[in-house]
Amino acid sequence: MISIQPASPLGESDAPESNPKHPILLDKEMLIRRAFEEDPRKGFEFLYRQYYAPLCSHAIRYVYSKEQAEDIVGDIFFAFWQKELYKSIQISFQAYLYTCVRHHCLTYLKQEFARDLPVEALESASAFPSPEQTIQYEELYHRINTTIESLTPQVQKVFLMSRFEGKKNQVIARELQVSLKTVEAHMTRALSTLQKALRQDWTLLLLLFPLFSA
Amino acid sequence: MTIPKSTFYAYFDGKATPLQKKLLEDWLRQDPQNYEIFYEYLNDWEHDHPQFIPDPEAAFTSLLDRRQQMPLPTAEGNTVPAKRWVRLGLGTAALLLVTLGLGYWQRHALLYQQYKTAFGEVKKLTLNDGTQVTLNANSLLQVPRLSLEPGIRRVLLTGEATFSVTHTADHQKFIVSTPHHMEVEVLGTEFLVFSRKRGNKVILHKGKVVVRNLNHTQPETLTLKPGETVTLDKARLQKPVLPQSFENQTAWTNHRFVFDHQSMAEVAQQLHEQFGMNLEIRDSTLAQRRLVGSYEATNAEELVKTLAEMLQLKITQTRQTVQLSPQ
Repeated sequence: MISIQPASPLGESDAPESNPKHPILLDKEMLIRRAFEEDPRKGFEFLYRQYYAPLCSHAIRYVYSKEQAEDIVGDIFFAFWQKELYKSIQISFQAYLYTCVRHHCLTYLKQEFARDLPVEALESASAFPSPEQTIQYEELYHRINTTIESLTPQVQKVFLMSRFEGKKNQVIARELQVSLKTVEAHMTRALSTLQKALRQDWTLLLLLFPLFSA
Repeated sequence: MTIPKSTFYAYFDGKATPLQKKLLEDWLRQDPQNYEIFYEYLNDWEHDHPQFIPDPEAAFTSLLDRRQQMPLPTAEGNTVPAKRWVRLGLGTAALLLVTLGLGYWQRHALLYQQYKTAFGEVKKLTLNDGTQVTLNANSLLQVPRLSLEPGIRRVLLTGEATFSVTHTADHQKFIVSTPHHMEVEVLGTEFLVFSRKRGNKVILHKGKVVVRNLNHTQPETLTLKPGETVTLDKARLQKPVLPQSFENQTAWTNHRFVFDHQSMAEVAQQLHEQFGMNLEIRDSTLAQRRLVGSYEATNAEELVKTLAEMLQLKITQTRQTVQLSPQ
């Protein structure tokens, strides 16, 4: 009588081996990988605790809104768990998550500030950025930073209250004791300056990111 | 080529010179592994220079909620109806070729039709030979797409299921294997197989089954008559003194819970297996309290509420666990 041994069907996992070339990262993510093998929920919690805050901090450099930054990072974590990406990712979780966050932020900026430009199809987040593109991502948030720094203090203040803190125009007007019209004018000013700056960059980004070409 | 961490920090800060940027770009091009270092430093830098401090707890809770509303992709993807039992010939050759190129997990999915139930889910299946299976919650049944043993229908079970096996014209044996080296061989009958961490047992309803314990070099076998139960205890097959009722033990197939002098601690364990609920009973008198009766409930919360009501207990719910304590 031959008996086939069911190969422990529950809790089976074939998370890719960490790359032995990189002892630092291997050690750092080893616990997380191991937890994913034992219990995906636990693995997810470890991953989340390790990277959620720094990823949000990175995202906000692009989107300048707490809410948007947390939404973007939350969506990425959710997809990571839902699609069981921990089973298939070949690079470190860290590299994957940062790449994803940057890509999503770029997509968001595109929708927000350059919707009319003839570029679509941003779904393929899997595209791993080239060295040039990687550098370009830094350039992008530096550009956003300098643009916001260049705004007059009052405009900057209104912009941050609205975007960063997510306050409504009426609330800002009340708090700063200015008219609603002034707040609206400041916001228009800030957004159009930002849009202009981003559009200048966009020409460059279009050349760099083939996934943007229609 | 090694680049000092300070250069990365200057670069992230926007203070790098064009030459430094060029240097980084070239360095990234040199070795794909350098990306790992790049993101490692980026992560360190974000740690050291946070732009704001998010509230991870609130976001985590909402992620868990979102996750709970979605079914597991594996449970969903595996509910397609079973393919033919045996299909040799051209298909086999193609299958083997494909198999070579895939990882272990995919290979398993190719070789076995998998039926999986989530916590709280009970699924009724009809296999291609007409055999009826009711799979209890948190269980996995694997049916080979190709049989390597002529004259044998073998399925692999982890968890709990009842089988009503159809007798085939060519008297094919039907064998249920479990990960705990216990297997049940039948001709045509109705029986329950329970194989979880806390134990293994088989209850026979109709017909005749042979239970085999493969934990020893010389397999131990036991033949069951209708109404009999056998358990695997300390790697030995044993018939309990008190017979267990098939109807009560399989009440879950109708979302009914039947307790026959089970302690609260055992009930808690059952809720964990079937619904993934972590029910805590710290009070030892309460944990030993025995229950008799039958309740109808489709989810764990309902059952716990009913229990609390009946026994006048207090329910304390935290994110991870539900606690029952005397009022």
